[in-house]
Amino acid sequence: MKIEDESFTIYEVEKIREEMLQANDNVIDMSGVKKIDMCAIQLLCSLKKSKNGLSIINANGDVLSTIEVSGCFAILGLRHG
Amino acid sequence: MDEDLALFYEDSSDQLQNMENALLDIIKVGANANSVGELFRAMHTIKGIAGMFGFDDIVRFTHKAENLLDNIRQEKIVFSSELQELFLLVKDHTSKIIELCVNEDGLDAQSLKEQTTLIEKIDSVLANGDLAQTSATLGQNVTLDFSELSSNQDNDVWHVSIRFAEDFFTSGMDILSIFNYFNKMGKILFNAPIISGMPKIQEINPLKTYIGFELEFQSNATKEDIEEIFEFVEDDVTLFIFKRSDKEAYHELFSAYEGLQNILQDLGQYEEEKKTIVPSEDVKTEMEVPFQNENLESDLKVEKKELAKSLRVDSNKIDLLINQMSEVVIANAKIEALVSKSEDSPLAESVEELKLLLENVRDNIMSIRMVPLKDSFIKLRRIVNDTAKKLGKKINFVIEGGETELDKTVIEKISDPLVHMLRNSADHGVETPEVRKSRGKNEEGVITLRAFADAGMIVIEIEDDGGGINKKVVLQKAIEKGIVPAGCILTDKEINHLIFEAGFSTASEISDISGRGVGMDVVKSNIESLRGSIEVHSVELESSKITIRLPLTLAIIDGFLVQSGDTKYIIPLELIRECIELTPAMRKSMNDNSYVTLRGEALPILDIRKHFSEKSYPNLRENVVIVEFANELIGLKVDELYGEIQAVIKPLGDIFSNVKGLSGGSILGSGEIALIFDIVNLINSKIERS
Repeated sequence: MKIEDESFTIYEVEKIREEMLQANDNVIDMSGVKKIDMCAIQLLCSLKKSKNGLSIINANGDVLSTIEVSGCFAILGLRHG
Repeated sequence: MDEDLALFYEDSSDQLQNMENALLDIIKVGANANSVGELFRAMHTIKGIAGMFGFDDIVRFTHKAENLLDNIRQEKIVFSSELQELFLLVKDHTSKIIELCVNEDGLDAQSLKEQTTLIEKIDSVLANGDLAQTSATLGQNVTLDFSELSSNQDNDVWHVSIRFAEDFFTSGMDILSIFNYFNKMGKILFNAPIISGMPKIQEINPLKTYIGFELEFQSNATKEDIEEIFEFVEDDVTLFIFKRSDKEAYHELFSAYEGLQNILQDLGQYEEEKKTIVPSEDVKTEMEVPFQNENLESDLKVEKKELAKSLRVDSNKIDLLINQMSEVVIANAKIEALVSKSEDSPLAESVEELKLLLENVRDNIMSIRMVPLKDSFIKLRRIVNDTAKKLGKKINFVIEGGETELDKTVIEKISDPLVHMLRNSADHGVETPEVRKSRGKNEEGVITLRAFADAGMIVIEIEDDGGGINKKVVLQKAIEKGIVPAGCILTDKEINHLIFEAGFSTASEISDISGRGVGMDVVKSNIESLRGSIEVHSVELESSKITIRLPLTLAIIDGFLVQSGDTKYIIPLELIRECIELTPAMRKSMNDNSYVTLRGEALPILDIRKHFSEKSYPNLRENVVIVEFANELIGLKVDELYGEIQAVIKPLGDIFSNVKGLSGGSILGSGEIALIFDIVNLINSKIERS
């Protein structure tokens, strides 16, 4: 599933959670996301907790840096590069 | 610095500041009982608390100083100018060793040398009664140097545990900015998000905050600096901040969060790799430990507080608001006074409406300062536990009514008195397990700290099921110390209240926890300065109970305006039971006695006119306002009754400090001054005169 919103923050989490539940996909494409906050990172953690095989792909540099600062990088199974 | 240590440091600094002020007064105008008492209290309090933390060096040193002050207090030694100089050095040295002890540095060679020199001087004074032999060298050997506080590099790593209130995200605060602050202040070595309490995607409410963090943070910042990061969200976070080397603090953390120990132990093996942030596959597996352990779903046992949305406001702004509200109340009273003279009824109606609205606004503003007693009560648990441990006693400390709210200023001011009283209960009240067993009691004693609202006041009770007050011993000691003359006959209540007399102590052995006879007199004066009262009730061998009554707030009260002679007085409304007119028949029945018979019961009467030497006008109608306080009823005989009034309490100043029975003044709408009765003192002075 691709997250279409450029901003993935507290204002979008309810909508994106619904989309995640409907898509029931093991891959989350973050290529379109330019901005993320802790509320959204928490939602990703919850999704990861529900799906062990979940992959988060194509996150851009800024988004990765923000997730790094949050300490959730490893929990979400992300890697640099 | 540990929170309790920080409190000890802060309290000791205040005590030492008081000591210094008293010393400076002594140097300027000479010593008197009060100033020597101030020095004694400072040393005694510091010794007591240092003893609980096991700071033996401080206890030893302050105990010596206290001995010397005790001798001065008993006039066995004269407070000479050499001694003034010595006590300034004692004060400075105490300050230095406290700083060394709370920083866990211990006493260095120089401090030990200074301490030995000072103790030798004190011993010399105690032995010879003066400083003649040692004064020549005083001040030369003892130089104080604070520059040697060394820092240990291993001490630079902090563990910070953070959990958030459920509505943290919606409060608009950003957790990421917290991490940015940490990165500005030092280096996050390790950051483990804790998600064991987080629901899966199907159940999660995405707006609620479930995530928590365990950080390791390297910085030369102090605990206070780290706490400052959370300054604006402190009500919405649960924090544990301690040095990585503090094993005991880890135990506290683990007892708060079940399962966390396993998580941290597992993650700890990969600490080095976490520092580089780029995780390997292995790290990922380990970081997922919380996911795999479903038992951890319910592991966050920290009490989930029902946190309403809150806004942190500088307390000075609230004080300003309360002051301005007070002025509004006074201005409104002026308008009311003017309107009552005019015959404009629509205007009178509007003014009445405004008055009701203002009353609501006033109540709401005053409620901003009201906070639950729970937080300050919980801090006392450690004091009771540590005291019990030190004395080899078993004590169950029970808190009841912690949700009761009280003005924050009042709470701050009763904190020290509560510490004194709880330490007394643990030390002198509850018996050792052996004694309790021999008395047929449970080996474990119970101390209950209880709070509840009663008749517009807040009541705080400290009750223990210990040995109670031994009245014979108390009376004997009071006679020995010259507090009461030999052969006088006192009621049980009067004997119990002797414990509030200055310099009273019944402990046969002077311990480092209490028993020097300071404290209870200070407790009483502190409570009374808050317009409160303190009572003690004791059943020998069974229990004792200290009851403190405090006003809800300090700034504005609902009062009842009366006049006696030429002066207007205000009686706190919540204490008034009824008003009656003193009929000629009643006056006749009084027959110059100071009581009337009301519905078959004798009611003591206090004639305000006589009490405050007011002018007497003949043929005036007289009224009696019946007030109730701590189950005592008393009638206040006054001339005029004017009715309800909102009174802004203003202090009366030093000139009135010796007038018993007045707690303040208030400006009326007419611009006149009314005096506010301090009912407790009025009742007491009535009892004394009777």
